[in-house]
Amino acid sequence: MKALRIGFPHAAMISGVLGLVACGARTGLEAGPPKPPSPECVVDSDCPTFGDLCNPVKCVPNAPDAGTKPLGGTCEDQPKVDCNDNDPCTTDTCTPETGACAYKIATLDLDGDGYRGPIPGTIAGQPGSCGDDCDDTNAAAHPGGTEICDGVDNDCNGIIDDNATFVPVSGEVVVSSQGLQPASPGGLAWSGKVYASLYSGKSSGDRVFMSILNPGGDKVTPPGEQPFTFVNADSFAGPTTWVGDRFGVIWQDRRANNNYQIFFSLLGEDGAKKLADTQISFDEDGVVGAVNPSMAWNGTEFLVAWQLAPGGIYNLFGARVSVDGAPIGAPVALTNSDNGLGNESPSLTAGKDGVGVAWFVGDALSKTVSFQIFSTDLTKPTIPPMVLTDGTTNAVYPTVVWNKDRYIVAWADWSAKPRAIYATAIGPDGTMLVAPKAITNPGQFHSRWPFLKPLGDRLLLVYSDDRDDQNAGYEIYSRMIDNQLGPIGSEQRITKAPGDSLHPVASFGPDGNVGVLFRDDRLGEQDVWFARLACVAGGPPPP
Amino acid sequence: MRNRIFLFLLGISLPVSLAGVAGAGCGSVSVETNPDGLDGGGGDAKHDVHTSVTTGGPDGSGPDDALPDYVDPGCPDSGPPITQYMCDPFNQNNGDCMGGEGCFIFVQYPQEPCGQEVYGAACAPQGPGGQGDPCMGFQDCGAGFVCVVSGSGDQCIQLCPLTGKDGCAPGLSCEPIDVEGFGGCL
Repeated sequence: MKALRIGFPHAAMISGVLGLVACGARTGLEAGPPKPPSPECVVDSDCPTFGDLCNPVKCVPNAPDAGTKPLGGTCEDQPKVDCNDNDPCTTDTCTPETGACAYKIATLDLDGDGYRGPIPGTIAGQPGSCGDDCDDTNAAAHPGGTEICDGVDNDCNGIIDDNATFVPVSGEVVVSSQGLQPASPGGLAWSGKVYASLYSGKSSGDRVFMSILNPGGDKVTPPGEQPFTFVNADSFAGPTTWVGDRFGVIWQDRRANNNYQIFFSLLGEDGAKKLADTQISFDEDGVVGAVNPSMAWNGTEFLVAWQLAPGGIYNLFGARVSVDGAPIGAPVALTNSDNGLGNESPSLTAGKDGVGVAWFVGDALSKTVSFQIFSTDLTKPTIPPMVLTDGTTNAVYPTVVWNKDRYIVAWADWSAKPRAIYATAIGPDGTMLVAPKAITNPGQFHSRWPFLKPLGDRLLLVYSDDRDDQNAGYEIYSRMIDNQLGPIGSEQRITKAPGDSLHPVASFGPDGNVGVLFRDDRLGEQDVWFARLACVAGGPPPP
Repeated sequence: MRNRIFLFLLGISLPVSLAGVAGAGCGSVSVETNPDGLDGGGGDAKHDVHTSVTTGGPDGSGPDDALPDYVDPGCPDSGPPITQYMCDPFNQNNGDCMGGEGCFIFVQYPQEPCGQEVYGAACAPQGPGGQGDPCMGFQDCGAGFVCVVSGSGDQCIQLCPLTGKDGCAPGLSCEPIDVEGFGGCL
C-alpha cells in the first residue's frame, strides 16, 4: 500500500504539467498525446474521510478511456452506518474508529434504587418517559414505595408526604462563623445523609463558604466550615441542588474579565469539591457582568439562568450543564429587550415538557413579573411571554416551581394592597389556571422573599414578614397552600428573635423535616442561621 | 429555584490615582470552559451490531460515580481588598466634600484572575436621585445614596450600616453591597 502511495506524487506532477498547458505555457510536451486527468485516489486510504467507519468511503476505479489503462479512481461515499434503533430510550451513536453502534440508555439511575428517572420533559412512568422513578435524587422514592413523612414522594403518586403538614421545631442554630459577617444564604440541599449549605461571607472580600450540616443544622466536622471559592475577588453564593450522588453548586464572582461571571462546580456529600470551577456564562458586558443565577435539575442535566447586559440592557441567558459539570452547547438568550425594558432576576424550573422561567421585567420605575415556557434544551420558547402583573405596582423577585401538573409562580409586591406574596398557577401549555392572588396577609405590613417547596397537591411557602410591629424587623413564616393557591391550615411563625430574619431558602431533610437557611441579625450582625420544620402526618397545622 | 438577590455597585469609575493598584495576579485558578460540552463516552461496540447499553458508569447505574476530590489550587491570599477612602460616605456633611458634591463609594474589579479589588469612597458631584429612582451610575444619585444593580432595575438606594440601627424606612432592610462595610436599603 505504501508503494502505491509513493506513486501519487507522480500523478500530481502530471497534473501540474497539464495545468501549465491549460494556462498557455509552452513546453516541449505540447506535441504529445493528452494525458488523463489526475485520479482522486488509488486506494481507499487516499480518500479524505477514510478511517471514519461510520461514514465509509471507497476508491472506485475510474472507467478506462479508449486505449488507456485506468489510472486510479474516485472517492465515493458508501452508505452511512445507521445507528438509529427508533428507541427513544437510547442515545444512539456510531464509533468512527470501528463503525460500531452504541446504544446508551438515555436515562439515569443516580440514586441507585434500581429505577430510572424519566427523559427530561416527560412524566415518570408515562409512555415515552423511559423511566418510572419520580424522584431519581432519592432512593426512598420509586414505584411501589410506601409513603412516609420524609419529604419524599415515596410511592410516586405525585404527592409528597400525603396529607402531612409542617410545623416549626424549636432550636435555631447559627451556621456562619463569627468574623464572616455580613453573611447571606445561597443554597441548601439535603443528600439523604447531610445538608450542604452554601452562603456568602466576608473574608478579605466576599467569598462563598460551605458547611455540611447534620439534620439539626450543626456543622459536621470534618469538613466543618470551608471556603468554597479561592479567589481574591468577590464571590457570592447561589443555589445548590442534590441530584442523587452529588451537589451542583453555582455562584457568581468577578475573578477575571473585569466583571462578574457565573461559575459551576460539584460538591460531594463529604464536603469536598469535585470539579474545577467551571465558567458557565460568557465574557461580555460593560455593566456589571453575569449575575443573579438560578439553577434547576431536570433529571439528567442542570439548567442555569442569569442576567447579563451585553447591549446595555439586561437580558436573560440560559445554559445546560451535564451531570458531570460540562457545559452543553453555548449559552442561549432567553429574552430580548425590544421594548426597551430590562429582564432580570430569573428563576427557572423543569416542568412536564418544558422549562418554566419567571423573571422581572422593567426598570426602577416600571416593575412587572413575566413567565414563559421554553423547550427542554432552552433553545425555543413554546409559549409567548406572559405578563403576570399590570405594571402599576412593584412586583419583584419571582420564583417558580413545577408542582405535579402546573407551574406555580410567586413573587413579592412591594406596593400593592396588600404588600404581600402573590402567586399564580399556569398549566404546561401556558393556560393560566389560577389568576394572580395574594397568598399571604401581612395587613398593613410587608411579606417578602418567597420560597416554594412543591408537594404535588399542595405547596409549602416560606417567606419573610414584618407584621410583628413589636419586633422591629422581618421574621420567617411558613404556610401551606393548595394547588388553587388557597390556604391550608394556619400560618406558622418560624423565627421570633429581635431584628431581621430574611431570605429563606428551604430543603426537604430527614424524617420529614424541612431545613430553612436564612439571614438573621439577632446577634448584632448579619449571620446565616438554620431552622427546621417537622412533618406532621395528616390534617392542617394547629393554629 | 429562586436565586438570592445581591446588590452590586454600578457605574463608579475609579479615581485616576488608584489606577493600576489592583491585580497582583497569579493565574493559578482553574477556569474551564467547554462550549461544546458533551462528554465523550464510547462503548466497546462492535461494528454494525447492537453491542453496548451503558449509562456511563461501571455498574450501569449512573455517571462516573468515582468522583475524585478536586484540589482547588486557589489564589495566593493577597489579604484584604485595597481601600482608599477619601471621605466618609456615612457622614456626608462633614466637610470632606465641596458643596454640591457627595461622598460616593466605589469599587474597581480585578483585571485578571487572582487580582484584588479596590474599594473606596471619593467626592463627586451629586445627582438628583433618591430612594428607588432609576440610575445609570453614581452621578444620578444624591449624596448618601448609591446606584446598584438590584435585580429589579438599576436604582438609587440609601446607604446604610450593616450593624446597628440601619436607618432604613419601614419595610426596607439593609442589604449588603459588594463594597465591604456598606449596605443599601432595599
